Amino acid sequence: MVEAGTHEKGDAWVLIEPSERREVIVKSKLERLYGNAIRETIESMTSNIKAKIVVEDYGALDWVLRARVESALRKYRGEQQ
Amino acid sequence: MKLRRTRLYVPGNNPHLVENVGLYEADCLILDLEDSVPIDQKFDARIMVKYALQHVDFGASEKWVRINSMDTPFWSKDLEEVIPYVQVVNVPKVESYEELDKLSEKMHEIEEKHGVEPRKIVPIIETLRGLVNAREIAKHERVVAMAWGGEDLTAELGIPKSKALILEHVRAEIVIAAKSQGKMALDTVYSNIRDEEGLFEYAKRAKYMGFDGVGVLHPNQIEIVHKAFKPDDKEIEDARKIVEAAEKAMQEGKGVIALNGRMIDKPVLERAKKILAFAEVD
Amino acid sequence: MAINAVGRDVPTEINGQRFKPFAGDMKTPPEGRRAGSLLRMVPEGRDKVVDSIEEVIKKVGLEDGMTVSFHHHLRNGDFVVNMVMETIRKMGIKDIRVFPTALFPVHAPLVDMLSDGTIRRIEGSMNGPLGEATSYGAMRETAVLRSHSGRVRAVESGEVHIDVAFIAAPTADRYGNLNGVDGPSACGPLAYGMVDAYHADHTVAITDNIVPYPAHPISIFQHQIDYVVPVDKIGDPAGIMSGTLRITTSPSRLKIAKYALEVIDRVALRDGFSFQAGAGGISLAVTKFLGDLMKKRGIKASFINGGVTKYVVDMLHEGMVDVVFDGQAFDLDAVKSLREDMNHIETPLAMYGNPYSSGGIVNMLDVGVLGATEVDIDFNVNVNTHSDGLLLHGIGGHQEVAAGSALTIVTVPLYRYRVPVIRERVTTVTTPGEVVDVVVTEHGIAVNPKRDDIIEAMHGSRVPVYDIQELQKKAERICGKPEEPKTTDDIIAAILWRDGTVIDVVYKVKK
Repeated sequence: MVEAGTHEKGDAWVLIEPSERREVIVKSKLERLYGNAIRETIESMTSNIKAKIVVEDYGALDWVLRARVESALRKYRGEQQ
Repeated sequence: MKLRRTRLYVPGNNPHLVENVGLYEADCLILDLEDSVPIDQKFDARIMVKYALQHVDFGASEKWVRINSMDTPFWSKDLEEVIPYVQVVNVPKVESYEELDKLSEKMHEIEEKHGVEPRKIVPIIETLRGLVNAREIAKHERVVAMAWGGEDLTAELGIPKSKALILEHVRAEIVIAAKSQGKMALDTVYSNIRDEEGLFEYAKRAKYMGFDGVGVLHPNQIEIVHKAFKPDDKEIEDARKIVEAAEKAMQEGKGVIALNGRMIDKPVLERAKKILAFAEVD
Repeated sequence: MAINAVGRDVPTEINGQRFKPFAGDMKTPPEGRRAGSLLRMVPEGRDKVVDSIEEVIKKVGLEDGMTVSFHHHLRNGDFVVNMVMETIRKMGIKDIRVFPTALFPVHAPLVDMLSDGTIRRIEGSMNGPLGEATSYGAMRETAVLRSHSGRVRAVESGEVHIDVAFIAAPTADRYGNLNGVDGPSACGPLAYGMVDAYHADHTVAITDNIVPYPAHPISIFQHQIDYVVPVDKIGDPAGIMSGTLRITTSPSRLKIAKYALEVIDRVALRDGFSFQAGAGGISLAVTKFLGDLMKKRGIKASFINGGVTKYVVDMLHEGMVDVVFDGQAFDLDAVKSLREDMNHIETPLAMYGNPYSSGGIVNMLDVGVLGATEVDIDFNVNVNTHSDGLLLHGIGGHQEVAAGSALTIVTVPLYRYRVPVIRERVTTVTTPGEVVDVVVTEHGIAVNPKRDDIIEAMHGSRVPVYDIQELQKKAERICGKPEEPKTTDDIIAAILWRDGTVIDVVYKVKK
């Protein structure tokens, strides 16, 4: 299991853990306004991994979300910190 | 002329602080990977900074990143992420010319890989050894300015920073080392962000010590420092006359610049140009 | 339904009552005479005290379907609304129309009364949970939102008739003189309660501080109060007063305040000018900076209309302004000053900005600085709903300050945590673009094209001036385009312009 990001406003927190099946869970206060956009970003960056992906969004801009997803993904792939 | 009166430090792993940095009109913006980032966030931070350099509007500010010092395992990873997008690499705790060579080599490798032009370096002198070697360090071709910090240095001496008399000497040494090589000298931060008058006086002192700028920790400090570095009307007027005389001499094809019957030397002309730059008039 | 002057499709009948579509500010003339309350016989004896709320409800003869009113000076510290409504519920009285000046998160217990039949509808500001519940369809009838002055107009015109006014009174005597400046629940002025005291058929003061006759100073006079009910506590001081309000420390908000200051300086600042003050972070900063600038320039203001805070009081006591008009006080400094300083004047709300009167304070304002949840490229402002369609805020005095001020500035960040504030089209129109002059963001300002005098005045300024479309595009570039609110066709609330015309409606949000 790896995580990236923080729970601060304007940020996003991402968790990836191994799983039998691919599963994406998004929690965001902006679900009604950006739920689709957030899922699209996650999908475009992680579609090739079979894992459980949890994203908690606190009003992150898209590039911030991307940075956090990339961070989590690289840790998940074993990159040394 | 590029001014570096203010360089604003912004914690690299805090996107909410990073996303607005372009608004504050600091001459330089430093996305920090060093002191403001806890060890367990170093990984996230360098990726965050990589994205910020690409997506945040920096306005007219120069894009800097402060990497982790070369005695940590982080510095080369920091470079890998940021070199393609940064303009200036701010390096803490630099102690020798050779260190900068090593850093420069790594930078070169990454620059080649990404096909980007060579990035500049601003070393921060923070130790006695660094101070002894400052004049050598300033010679490095990538170095455009030299900064300093007093925490480690006073710790080495076993004296509290707030009472350390030696810091005035350190300041002078940094100015001499940098300016003798035609590089900028940058003073450290004024950490009481609520004390506007104190900051103004601090920046004035830095200016008259020979520094070209100071570090800032809060956007509210920027305007005050710029005001402190602004030359007064008389300085501006004299400078304008000198620059105009130089332009006239140029047009008339004269090799010697004269004003009121006195010859103007090159450093005097350079100072006049600098004054006008600081006055924000062309 | 009809299309109104801001292009919104609005109903002409709400809760069985006829309403006209918004036609523009000052475009719909009033009709008829002021409405009045019941005449009554002087009570026997020298004491109006009744021991309990239940008893007083029986005495006034509150029945199913009637209208009860409240004022909101105890803000989020108010106990009175819940106390009275809970008693009404227990007594089995149904279908009440609640007519508050404003409700707050502390009034969340009313949510259940929407579904159990106690309340049929609320006509007033609903900040927080009640607004949210209403958005999801909890209210049987349609909510009606009015500005502070619009509410006064509704009462005076008879559009809303109050059967019983329950007036929270921080201080009262046994014969019904009231004030808000003394007592454990002091809140400052009772400006909002004055209209209700005058126009309701029955008036009940609820207090936790009975003083010997006559209570003084007097904000609401004895001849308008029928009963006085003492209770343990009418409120929680922590929720009534804001404590020490602090100027925003956010660098981007400060930048907004500085830009606003420069607009004021170039357009309106002169000896004897006047302005509207508020308690929001940006608003406080503008007030503070304005004070500093006035000192530097050596000029004085004639009056400040507030939203009174320590910053305003300090200016009064430093002689930088002649008079402070006070409709609501935000901190104890303001309450103290109201009690002690003759030049600090408690203003009845009827004097604030009622368009159907001989002119309110807002008509004498040079500068009004206001906030918003959204602004659009037609300069229309939304302060009621969030971009997802949820009704979460009241109108306050936004409409009348915008309409009255010679220079109306709306200060907003370009976006808030990814939500763009400058939009192509606001979710709900609270205040039409025709009364908004300048929008100030941390990225720069946009001037309403009809104010070329302001555009002219900003020439040579360091403040970047944009077309509002550019700001909108910039916000969208940074945030991405948000999805449209997911709403049904059911109207859950009507937003009235201060003259009682319908400027917009709010639709039910899908769960």
